[in-house]
Amino acid sequence: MGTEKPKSDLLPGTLDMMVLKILTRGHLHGYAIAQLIQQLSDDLLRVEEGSLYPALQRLELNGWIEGEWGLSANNRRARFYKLTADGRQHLNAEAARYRQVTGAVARIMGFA
Amino acid sequence: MEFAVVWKRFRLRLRYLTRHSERQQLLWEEMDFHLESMAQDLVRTGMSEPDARAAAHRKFGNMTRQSEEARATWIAQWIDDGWQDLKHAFRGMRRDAGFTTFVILIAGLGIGASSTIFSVVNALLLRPLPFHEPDRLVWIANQEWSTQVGFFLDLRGRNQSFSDMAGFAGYGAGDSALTGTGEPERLTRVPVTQNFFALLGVQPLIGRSFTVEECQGNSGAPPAMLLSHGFWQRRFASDPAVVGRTLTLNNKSVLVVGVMPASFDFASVFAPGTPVDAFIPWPLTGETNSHGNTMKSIGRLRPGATAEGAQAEFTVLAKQIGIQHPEWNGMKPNLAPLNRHISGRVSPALMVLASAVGVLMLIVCANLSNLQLARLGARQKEIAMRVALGAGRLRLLRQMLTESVALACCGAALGLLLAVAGTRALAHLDAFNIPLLASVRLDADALAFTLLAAVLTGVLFGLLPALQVRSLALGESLKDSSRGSSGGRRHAWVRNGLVVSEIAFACTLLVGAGLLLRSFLRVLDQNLGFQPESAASLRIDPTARFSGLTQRNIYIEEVLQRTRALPGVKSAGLADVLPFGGDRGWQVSAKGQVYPKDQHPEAYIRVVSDGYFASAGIRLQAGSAAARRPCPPVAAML
Repeated sequence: MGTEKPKSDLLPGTLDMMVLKILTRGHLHGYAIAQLIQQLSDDLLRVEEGSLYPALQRLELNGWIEGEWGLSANNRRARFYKLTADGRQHLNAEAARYRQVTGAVARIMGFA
Repeated sequence: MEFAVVWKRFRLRLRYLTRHSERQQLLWEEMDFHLESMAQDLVRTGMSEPDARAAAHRKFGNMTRQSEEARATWIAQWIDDGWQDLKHAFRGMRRDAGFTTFVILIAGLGIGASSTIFSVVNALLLRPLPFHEPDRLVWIANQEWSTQVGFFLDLRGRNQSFSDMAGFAGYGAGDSALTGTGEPERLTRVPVTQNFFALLGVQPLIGRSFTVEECQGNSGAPPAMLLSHGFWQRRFASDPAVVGRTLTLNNKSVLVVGVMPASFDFASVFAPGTPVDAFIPWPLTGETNSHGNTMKSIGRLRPGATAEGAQAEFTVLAKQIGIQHPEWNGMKPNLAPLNRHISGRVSPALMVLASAVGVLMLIVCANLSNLQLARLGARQKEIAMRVALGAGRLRLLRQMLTESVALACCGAALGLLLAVAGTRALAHLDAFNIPLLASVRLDADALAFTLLAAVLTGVLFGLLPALQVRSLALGESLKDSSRGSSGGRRHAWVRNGLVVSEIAFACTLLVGAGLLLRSFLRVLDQNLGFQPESAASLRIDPTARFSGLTQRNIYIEEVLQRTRALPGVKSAGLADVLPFGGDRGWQVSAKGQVYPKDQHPEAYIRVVSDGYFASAGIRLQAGSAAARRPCPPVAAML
């Protein structure tokens, strides 16, 4: 119990990949990451907080992101995450894999 | 590269684990910030502050649960839960001290018995014999008896199955008298062939093994002797200087050339029940050949050879040798792997014992299950409360199992104490003719077994009650329960089932034990042909001290007379062998008759004096007891 449960119908690992991608933009806190995913997907994807924080923990444990405490725009203590070199590598690998999978799905569905 | 990554992740995880409460607080703070930001965004869209906050909370969901889920990624949650359950279990145990005591006692007795029996089974059947590559050792018997030296030598020379063969000769317990240093003592010496220790792969602890000259029995020096570890400890206080010393045995000098290690316990492997004090060389010569069937042999298989193959080869070889040497006693080779020869005889009995203990453990589990169920009834409210507070089905099941396993483990601690005492007592049962019994002890295997037994017991006796928990909690909930609900009925059904199985197991065990006891009593009731109840025996060896027959007879006469004069002694007599003591047979033939080989009648002949039959309580079928000397040859049939 208590380990990864798919919270959406997205492909597994997609959330992790998106978080890593968002973090290529710079240091961001959890709330900002959630907001950005929502905005960039034109409100199509909403990240549930119940998935976001376990994902952040997981990414940090694997050494792909690093978190540090800082002050937010409204002067509150918040935890900012940044991408590590390992994380960048992992992101590239994941993106390539994702492109393959979605491409394959698209071909089957006749979209391509 | 790979290793560096793994190591880094491991270190991170470790840091998270060790600073776990700090991490949790930070995570909480992080999520709090998230909530706050969300609320502020909502205020910006025109919502009132309290509404925005409430909405944010609604959206975020249960913060505790979120944090738990996030935490689960860095700490194996079950460790956390397990620790919590364990604490809870111990609190519960303290509260129900009576229940706890009973459970620990019952589980302790059961586990103690199983661990003890496991130790015995382990020592006798599972653990390899304490020799080098024991799987390749084969016991070579002549049917069930000993082999003649000539046969042994020829077989050793001609066979292809064994890389080497060794053996030891028959010996009498207490046949040698140690005199000259301190208290005189009877010793048991086993004559072994020169390569005996090398074949088994055993080295003397101090000193050396026998040389080839010593084993030919014609070196001018005093005969050599190796001490057993036990005798060395007991008699010489483990003094290494004893090697090289000369001792007097049966009025002859012998040289101590070495001491065997403690791990080499000849008696417990080959001669259970008889202590063995020393080893002497057994020469393979024409002289020892003339002694008849004397040797017990062991062979070490060549790589690739099997005991079955060796059996076939030996059957053929023995026939050939028998034809070439009609003057020798025959030999019908009977080969068996050494471990089977040693423990084969006791393994069925051990299996019975192990099964009995297994059934006993099932009774213990059924019993404990029942107790646990009864206790659950009293804990209904607590459980219902837990369910209401959100404990999941699995979580409850696990908590119940943790409790029962914790209880079983406490029982196992008690059981270990019992097992230590039990194995000690068993290992010191010298009177029993069971091989390897002296090596029974509580070792790492037995500890592992005990742990396994504890966990299994815990799961077995906890599972049924744990599965019942749900129905208990749902049906009756927080209000005082009404009786006769479906949950209650099922509950009763399970308990009845437990009681029935308990009684069934107990009956199985009782019937089995009763039958065994009955057989045992019948063995005890067996008419032995003599009456050991009021008889006492004492051994004298006049041969060593008197050389002449007349002198010896005077001494014996004196001994008998003085013994009869003792107050309380009704009669006294002499015999060369006590009943059931030794199986020396002689060939007897009617005068003038010639028998074909192998069909010569054999008789167990006892040389006895007057007064022997009266003393041993042996009734004569017919005829009269032997008169005093001069004895005409009289045969008394027992």
